[in-house]
Amino acid sequence: MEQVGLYPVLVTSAVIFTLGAVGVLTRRNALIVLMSIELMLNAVNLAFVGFSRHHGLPDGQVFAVFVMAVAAAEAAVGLALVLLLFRHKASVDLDHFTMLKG
Amino acid sequence: MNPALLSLVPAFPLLGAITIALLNRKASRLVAGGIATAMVSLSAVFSFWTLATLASAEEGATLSARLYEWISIGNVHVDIAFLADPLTATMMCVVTGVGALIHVYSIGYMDDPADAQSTWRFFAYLNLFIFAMLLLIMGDNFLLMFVGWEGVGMCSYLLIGFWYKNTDFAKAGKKAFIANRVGDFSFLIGLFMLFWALGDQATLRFADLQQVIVADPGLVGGHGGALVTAVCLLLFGGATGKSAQIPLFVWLPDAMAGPTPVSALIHAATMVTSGIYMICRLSFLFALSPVAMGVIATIGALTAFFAATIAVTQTDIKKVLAYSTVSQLGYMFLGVGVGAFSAGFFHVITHAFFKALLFLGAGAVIHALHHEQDMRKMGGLLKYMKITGGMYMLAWLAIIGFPGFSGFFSKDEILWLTFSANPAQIALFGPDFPLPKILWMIGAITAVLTAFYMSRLVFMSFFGEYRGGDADAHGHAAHDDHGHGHGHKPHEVSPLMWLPLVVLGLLSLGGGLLNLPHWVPAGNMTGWLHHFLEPVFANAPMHFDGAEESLEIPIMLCTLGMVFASVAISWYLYLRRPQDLASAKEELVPDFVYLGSLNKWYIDELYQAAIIGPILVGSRQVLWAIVDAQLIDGMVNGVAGLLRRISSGYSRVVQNGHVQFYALVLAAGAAVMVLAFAVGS
Repeated sequence: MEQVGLYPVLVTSAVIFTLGAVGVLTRRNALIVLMSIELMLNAVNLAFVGFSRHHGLPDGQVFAVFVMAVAAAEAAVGLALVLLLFRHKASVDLDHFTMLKG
Repeated sequence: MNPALLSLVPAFPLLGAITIALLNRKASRLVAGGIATAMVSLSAVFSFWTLATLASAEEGATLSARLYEWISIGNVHVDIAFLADPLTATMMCVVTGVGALIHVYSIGYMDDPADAQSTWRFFAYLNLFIFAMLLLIMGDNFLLMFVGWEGVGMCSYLLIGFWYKNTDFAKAGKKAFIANRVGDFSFLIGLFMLFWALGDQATLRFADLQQVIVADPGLVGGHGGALVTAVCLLLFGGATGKSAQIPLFVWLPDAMAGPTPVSALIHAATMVTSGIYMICRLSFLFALSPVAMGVIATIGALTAFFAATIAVTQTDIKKVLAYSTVSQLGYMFLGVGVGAFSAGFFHVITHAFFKALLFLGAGAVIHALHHEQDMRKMGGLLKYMKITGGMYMLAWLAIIGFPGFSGFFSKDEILWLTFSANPAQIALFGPDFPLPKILWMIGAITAVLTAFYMSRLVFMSFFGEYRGGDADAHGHAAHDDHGHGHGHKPHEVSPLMWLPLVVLGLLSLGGGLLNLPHWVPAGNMTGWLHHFLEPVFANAPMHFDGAEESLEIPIMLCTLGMVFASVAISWYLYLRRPQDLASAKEELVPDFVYLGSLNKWYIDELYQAAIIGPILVGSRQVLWAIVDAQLIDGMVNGVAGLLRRISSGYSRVVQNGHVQFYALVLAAGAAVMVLAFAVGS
């Protein structure tokens, strides 16, 4: 099987990361925002693994595993927060939640 | 003795203080007092062991114990280390010995049920004081001495204000602390100057300091130099605070607000003598400056006289003793000032014996009369309190200098050496001015006054008829409040209290044996203390004109005659014909003298008007109203107000509460940073 070089991996990672970032910044639905965050995290994972393979070192893969664990925890907390927000206002539209304004 | 054991001496009282503080309310009077007494007694045992070791060692031997290096900056190394030379060892024995006796006495004295919850505090402070005092005298360097110096001041403050719920007592504590701080400031400046003058050879260890200065007095300006005079005067300024001399003596009489054992231990026997101890320790330095020596001797003599004139009219038994202490401290400074270091220090020791006894005896009287301190309501107490009264007679004879008693030998030696001092050595007004003779006259007059006011105290309180009690219904009521079920008459105190009195009585009687004058045929015993201390003062050679001649005995007889006359007058006025007292006063004493003495020559009022008042006005009107309220508060409020205006005006726009807006700013920031890195590299 032909080896995939570093650049295709990084380009793919950057594209996915940008998609995620744009999703976070533009979508109003909190669930979609959470999903977009997952996209960003996994884009980073992809870059980690790509670099790990390129350098022949296991560190990046270790980090990827850590990121997955943290992402799982973050998703659990994030979903719980969204649930509570929904109970509060019967909506998950982020524009309805501006209680922290100064 | 293994020198390492030396560090145990201060360790015991520290341990005691910590233990009692940890037990706090769980320690009753007997437990706290027992621990405190045991710890000081252990210190005393090791102190006497040290003294015995040094006394049997060859001349000039010292013991030292180094615990660890405390501070090390450049060439300067300061250790936590202790040094015991003859001077230290003698002082250690006085502090721990008299201290242990006073601890025992305190167990008996502090039995007021109102204090039951706080006696542990009393004993913890007392032990802490002994620890600080031992640091002061045993520290082998200036810095450790200064730690002790400040430590005793702090304990003194805590103990004067022991009954802090009484505002006046708390104020007396503050007064003592502040007066001492003024002196300490001068002490520190003197220390800094000395340190600065030595330059490359700067050191804080006493032994090195002595070596450096003796090897090259030019470092501090040479004999009689302006620099050494300034250093000595500044250090003496510290001593005037701690040892209550003019101009800083005002705190000591007020310090009598503390419990009487505190007055005996701190404000008579130990702490107040630390100024004299410091000058003895630095005799090699002070001997280089005849002007400073002249100032010390003059201030000492003037203080002795001045305080004695106040003591003559006071009616509070503790106030008389307080002014008497100031006066006796003046004698000690007179002694060290004319260069008779061992004589001055001898008076420190004998004074510790008889003044501790006088205070403890007064405490016993106050205890027996339920907090009555006015001598006009005493009288005839010898009948009711035979042991206390008997011991009081011994202390009285010692302080007036009755032949054979301890005070006789020490005071006589100071007066004689003052008389025969070499004027060139105390050249305050030039070498030809007969300063020694004038100082001797002041000293002799003070001895007469001392005999008068001490006899007055003894005759008013211990002889004649009892003037308090029965007729005094108020006193009777107070009596019942305290829950003692005694009769109306004063009663002897408990053995815990009179046993220390007996020991101190014997010491007051026999203390002179330590340093018998040369005209007493006592063989090896003659001048024991003088010879023992000689190596300490070896680098401060002082000469006395005709000290070997037998002028001593005529001078002594002359003083003695006046003293006896003074006792007789006192006896006549206060015992034989008290009804003539008022008319004698009218005819013989001008009003302003009597009122001046009664009101302490208005020194407190003078300080209030000249120093404290202006400082208060300046602080309130300028520092508080302008500098603090307007300048500093203005700056603080201005900065806060500016920030508030900025935040409410501009930053509100960005704090809009939209998380996604925040995320956008964050992402934009990250993008800018990445771009900056990319462009930069």
